[in-house]
Amino acid sequence: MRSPYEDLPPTAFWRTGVVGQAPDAIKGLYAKKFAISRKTRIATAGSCFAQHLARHLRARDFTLIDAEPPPPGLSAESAAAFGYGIYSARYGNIYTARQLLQLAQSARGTFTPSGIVWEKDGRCYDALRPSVEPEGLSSRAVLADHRAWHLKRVAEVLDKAELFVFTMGLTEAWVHAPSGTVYPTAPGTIAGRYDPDIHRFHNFTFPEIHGDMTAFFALAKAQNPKLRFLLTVSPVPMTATASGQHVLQATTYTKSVLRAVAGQLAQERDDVDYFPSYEIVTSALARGRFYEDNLRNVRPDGVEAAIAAFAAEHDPDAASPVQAMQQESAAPPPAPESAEDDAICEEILLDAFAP
Amino acid sequence: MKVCVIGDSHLAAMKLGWEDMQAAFPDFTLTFFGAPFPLIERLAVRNGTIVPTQWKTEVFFRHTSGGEARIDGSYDRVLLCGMKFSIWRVLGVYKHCRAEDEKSDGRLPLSDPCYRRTLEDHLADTTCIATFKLLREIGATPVGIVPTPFPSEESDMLERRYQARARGDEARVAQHFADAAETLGRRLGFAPYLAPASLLASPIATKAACAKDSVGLRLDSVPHAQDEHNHMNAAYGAAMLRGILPALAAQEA
Repeated sequence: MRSPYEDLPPTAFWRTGVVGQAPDAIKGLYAKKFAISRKTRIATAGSCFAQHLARHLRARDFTLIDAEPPPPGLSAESAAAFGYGIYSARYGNIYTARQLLQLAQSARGTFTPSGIVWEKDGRCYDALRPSVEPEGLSSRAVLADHRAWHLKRVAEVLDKAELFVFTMGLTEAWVHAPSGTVYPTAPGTIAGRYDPDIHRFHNFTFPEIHGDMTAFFALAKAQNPKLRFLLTVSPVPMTATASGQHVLQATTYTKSVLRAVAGQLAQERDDVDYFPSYEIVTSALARGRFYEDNLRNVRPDGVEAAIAAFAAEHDPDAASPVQAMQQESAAPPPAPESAEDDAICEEILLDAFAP
Repeated sequence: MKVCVIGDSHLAAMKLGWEDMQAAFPDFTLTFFGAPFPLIERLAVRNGTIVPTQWKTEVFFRHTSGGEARIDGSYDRVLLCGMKFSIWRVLGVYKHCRAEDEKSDGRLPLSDPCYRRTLEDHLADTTCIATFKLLREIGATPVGIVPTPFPSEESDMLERRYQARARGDEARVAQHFADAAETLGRRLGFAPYLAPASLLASPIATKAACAKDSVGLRLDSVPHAQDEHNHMNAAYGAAMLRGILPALAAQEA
């Protein structure tokens, strides 16, 4: 009697596919759906972990779009502090699918966010990218001016990209209830003031995220039909949850939903690939070694393991991730080096509210 | 008081000016170490002294100092001249970027904090500041910085490239430069010495008379051509030093 498992490859079995594999080189874990070359114009966005992917791709001479480059003369360190050179435009971290969709809609003029000016010490902060101006701006008018400039650059990114890499980070978000505008972080964290009559917590569900991503794909492809997408899920656990659950449960829920949506989208669409950086960093095979002592920040070798898996499929002849980063560090880097602590992450600020 | 003056081609005006005025400052001894750009970049710290790493730079140092090529820590004060610490850096930012109170015109809009940081970073990324850091490796001698002179009012490059006058922004650009130099000076520990208004034709241009008969920093001291608008003459150097030396002496050791 034959079993349907008889002819399956070693990758189909836990014992041969995982146990005994090197955690930084799991054979057969990722097989590309479509080719990505160094000439492919790549846009990047997403949660904190996406910064590492962008930096490593840049170090390997992939063509990353930077539609909003820093002013001439600003040092790499200062540029990163002002949100330049981190992603393809200066949108800061995008944690949720709804936030990504609303950014694209704003760039295309089909959505006008509300409640986006947060104030602190007489300065105005763009609530949709509060980390890019650490000291804020002088007025609402200046903020609107800068935002208009930024959205034109976002539109350029959507128009020019051949591949959009998005790292899905969170399901939980804070929403400006009257307009539905989704913030990247809770009001009152960086600036602004939490008002329970206006600000509402929302934990996005599978159907909502699937719908938002599908809507984003459609919007982005409307003027750029050849655009394709690479989805990843951030392996960085939540700093805090407002769901009422234990943060460990909440993290598992969040990552599970995001992973499921990413997998679903990759299954049903030819123009979407899923890259398993989440699995590489979080799997039992790694035994937690890819996390720093706080069990949250991803160590540089975890990032390198993920990039190595990407490169094995898309850039097999290139130098190792370490070599690439060393080569990059010989020249002025566009952003800080590889430690997770260098990633600019609004979410970590929630830690300040822990008892 | 022993003062070491290090600089690029703009050091010539200071050196010639000093020769004309030193009798009025008998308490000062100035030693000049100059080399044109980019030779002035070729410096390093060895055995507690700053030395040229290229023979051409060494030749210039010996020529301008009267025989010495090494800069040790024995000076009471150090003055750094030019070496790209210049209004041109600010104009380069101004050309491409606008601050918060400037109207939208196609230039990159920057927050005021980012604009300030850009100017400071741009000025910090100069041979002048690199030399300042070498000085800090060999000691804690008080340091003053004399920026590259503003171009002569007869230079057409200012308007041709930057249109600061057409936009009515000359004073703004000058203030940005002064503020950035001051902030960087506070942060790193040097005193900037900008040209006094008496030498200026506009907030960002030097009087044409100051550029007449300027001399290049060459071994043969050949005068500049008449259409040279970026280097100043001995009278300018003397006027600058007359203002700088008392203040430099007053800088806390």
